[in-house]
Amino acid sequence: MEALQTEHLSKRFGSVKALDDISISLSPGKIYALVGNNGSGKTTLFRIIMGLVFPTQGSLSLFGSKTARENELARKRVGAIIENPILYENLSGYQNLDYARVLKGLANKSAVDEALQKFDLAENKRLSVRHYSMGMKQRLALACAFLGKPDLLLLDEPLNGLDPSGIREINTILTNESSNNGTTVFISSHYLKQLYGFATDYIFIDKGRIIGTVTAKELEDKCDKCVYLSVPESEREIAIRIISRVLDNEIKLLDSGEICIYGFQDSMTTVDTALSKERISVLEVRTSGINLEDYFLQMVGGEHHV
Amino acid sequence: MYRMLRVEGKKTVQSITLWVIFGVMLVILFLYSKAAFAKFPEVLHGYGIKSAGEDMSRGEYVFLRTMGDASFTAWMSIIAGALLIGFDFQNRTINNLIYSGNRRGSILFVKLLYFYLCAIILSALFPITACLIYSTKWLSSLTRYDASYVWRCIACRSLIDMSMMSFPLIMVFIFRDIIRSLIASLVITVALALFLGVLNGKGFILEYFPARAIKAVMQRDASAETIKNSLLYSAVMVVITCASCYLLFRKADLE
Repeated sequence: MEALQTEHLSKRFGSVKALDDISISLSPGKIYALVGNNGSGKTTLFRIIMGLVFPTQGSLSLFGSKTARENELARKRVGAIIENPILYENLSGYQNLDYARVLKGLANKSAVDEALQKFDLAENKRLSVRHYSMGMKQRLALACAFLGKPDLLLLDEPLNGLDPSGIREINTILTNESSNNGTTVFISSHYLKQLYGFATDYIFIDKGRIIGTVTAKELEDKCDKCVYLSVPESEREIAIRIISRVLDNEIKLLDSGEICIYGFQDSMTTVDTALSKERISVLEVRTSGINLEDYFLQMVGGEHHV
Repeated sequence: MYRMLRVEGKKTVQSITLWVIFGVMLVILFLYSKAAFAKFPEVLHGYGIKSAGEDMSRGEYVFLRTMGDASFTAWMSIIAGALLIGFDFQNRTINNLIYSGNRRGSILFVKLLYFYLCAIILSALFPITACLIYSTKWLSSLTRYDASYVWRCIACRSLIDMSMMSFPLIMVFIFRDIIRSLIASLVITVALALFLGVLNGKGFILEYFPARAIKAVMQRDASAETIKNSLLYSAVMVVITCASCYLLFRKADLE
């Protein structure tokens, strides 16, 4: 049974068409990334799924539900963050989680402490949420969404406000949830690079329409970009060490003497800055393949920037 | 639904802000009551108070005067509506109730129940504070007849208060935020007050106004017919308000 299925879903706000004929199907245990620019319709889609907004046309079904009431009840099996975290600012992190626990009908209070532990908030659990940083609020919202081990996680730009290590941590948690508990994850971002590497499927949306879907493997094949750097022979070893420090990518020194950075999706500025700091001169740069940004630009016709 | 009520209760008890507002209001009302009723009013006619010594008369007067004060209820309902329900819309915390698989009808029921309860408690603060200062002697020596009269006043006043809270409540469900709901409710309340001023106590429409209904049911010699009509109009108003809120909320697109 599909975790979520939508058929010809459309939504109009006055004269603005926010969603246009969206038909998607999410299988259990997979991580789906919804990628699109700001205003492309990602949040509207999530809001319709969670019952905040009613579609103008089309239908949706959560876990095989056939009626609107069944969908309402099925939402108990969904953990969601839509746009900014919804929290009671004047209450503590613990109290916020406890409310979520009561609303989800979880009898066991220890679920709250487990969630605080899992999202590294145990130390600040008595602190009022208004004193939390953006990243802490985001983690608390994630903890609320994860309470009760939902079968579907609906996360709208949940990585905003998190530092790189926080993003990596959340990605790991989502991957584990999906592979160990069979949780379906539907996560959105306007930044493809944030989701690259851990989603199993990618859905691209633009101007309210689905413009393409690819599996992780297909995307990897399409975006297999490599960067080849030529530096003076005496500086090659140190250059590799410096680049390794700033990038996670696989780096090799080829027989030709060129340094190859595999799966390179970042901006060259990072590499240039690091090398120039150490006074290493780059003699030549050439690339093969396309990066994620170029791929997305191709999808939307080169009008936008992701 | 029980879970939602539990969360609303917990939220109220644990909210320091609400307790601070409550405390500040009590202090203001205490000082205001002290000042307003310190001088025993010479004019008691119209309240049907039989003089039985200064303390007793003052006690009865303060009870009637504060219980019959509709303006305090009007202000409290505007504040309660905006803060209790407008807050939930503005901060999107109402979304959590939808995420938890609750029907919109059930959510509305819980919110209205919570609002009416809180607004009635807030509206009762003025009579309670003033009566605690001036009316304890009178209240503690009530005859059975007087006691039934006091209970009648409290019961009728609660239902009429609910009808008086209609406009602020509907405004919250139309605007779904704090500021706009506050402003709209204030404008309507001031407009109604001006309208009542223009009517100068005349006109059949006045019969349907909660402020007039409160005054009517407060009279010791109010007829059963007057009380019945006042309560009926109020009940109809409450039903219309709840139905309007349901229609506004049932298919509303939320942020």
